[in-house]
Amino acid sequence: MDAALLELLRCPDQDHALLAYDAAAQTLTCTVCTRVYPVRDGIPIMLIDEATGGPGKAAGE
Amino acid sequence: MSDWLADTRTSYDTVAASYSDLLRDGLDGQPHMRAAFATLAELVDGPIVDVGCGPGHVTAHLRALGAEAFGIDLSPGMVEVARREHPSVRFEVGSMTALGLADGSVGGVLSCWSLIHLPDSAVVQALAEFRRVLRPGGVLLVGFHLGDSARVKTEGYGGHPMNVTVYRRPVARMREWMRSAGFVMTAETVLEPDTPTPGALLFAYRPVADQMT
Repeated sequence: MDAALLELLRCPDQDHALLAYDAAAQTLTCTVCTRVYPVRDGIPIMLIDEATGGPGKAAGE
Repeated sequence: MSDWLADTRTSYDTVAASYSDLLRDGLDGQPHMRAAFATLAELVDGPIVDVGCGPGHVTAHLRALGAEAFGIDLSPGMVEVARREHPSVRFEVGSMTALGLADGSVGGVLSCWSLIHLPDSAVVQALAEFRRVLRPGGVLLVGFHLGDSARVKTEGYGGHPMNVTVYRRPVARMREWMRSAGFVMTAETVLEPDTPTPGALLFAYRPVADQMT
């Protein structure tokens, strides 16, 4: 994924925390809420609804 | 995801290819739009995010003007078209109501007729996000349909089914929302005021010493 874009990206949830990029898995993982955002064909999908992991819907109201 | 967000996303996924074809000559006949984009490119030092970039033709235009532009769109179908049409430009899938960008990370935000599908409360939310991601002194350019109405659009771009609301808003209302979000207005252009489908382009900036956090 593009390094310049990666530098700007943060978790879209309230913390806007740093993301850890896993090049092999093609994922971005929030370092605070632990949601995992997929990167598909080099395109990061920065949508809370499409993330896996992190706080469950029940816990997060 | 809110219903209107999901509907907007599905609608633009459906029309992505046709929409892109229809916009192929895009900015050729739109000198006032091009002038606004040139002004944006001139004013901004640093990245410009094209929020609701669709097939990316404006993002690519800004890059051709030398700006570090990249695009975000809610519709993966649109982003796929954007990347195919403009392989050297960066795109991501995201929502303008919760941007996946760092605070103060961009020098410019462009919302080119992308707020037109948002209900009022979401426009306020999006403007707050634009302000958050803009660095102090950063420039916002908002283009939208002028008027005062809301209409449900059920098909478009060659008869494809859609389910989006198209909002027209008066300049005064958009200006007040922008000011309330912490922006200072700099320029306002009304496009085609003598047609049934006028538009507006509003320039504003995030003040360097703002009081809001």
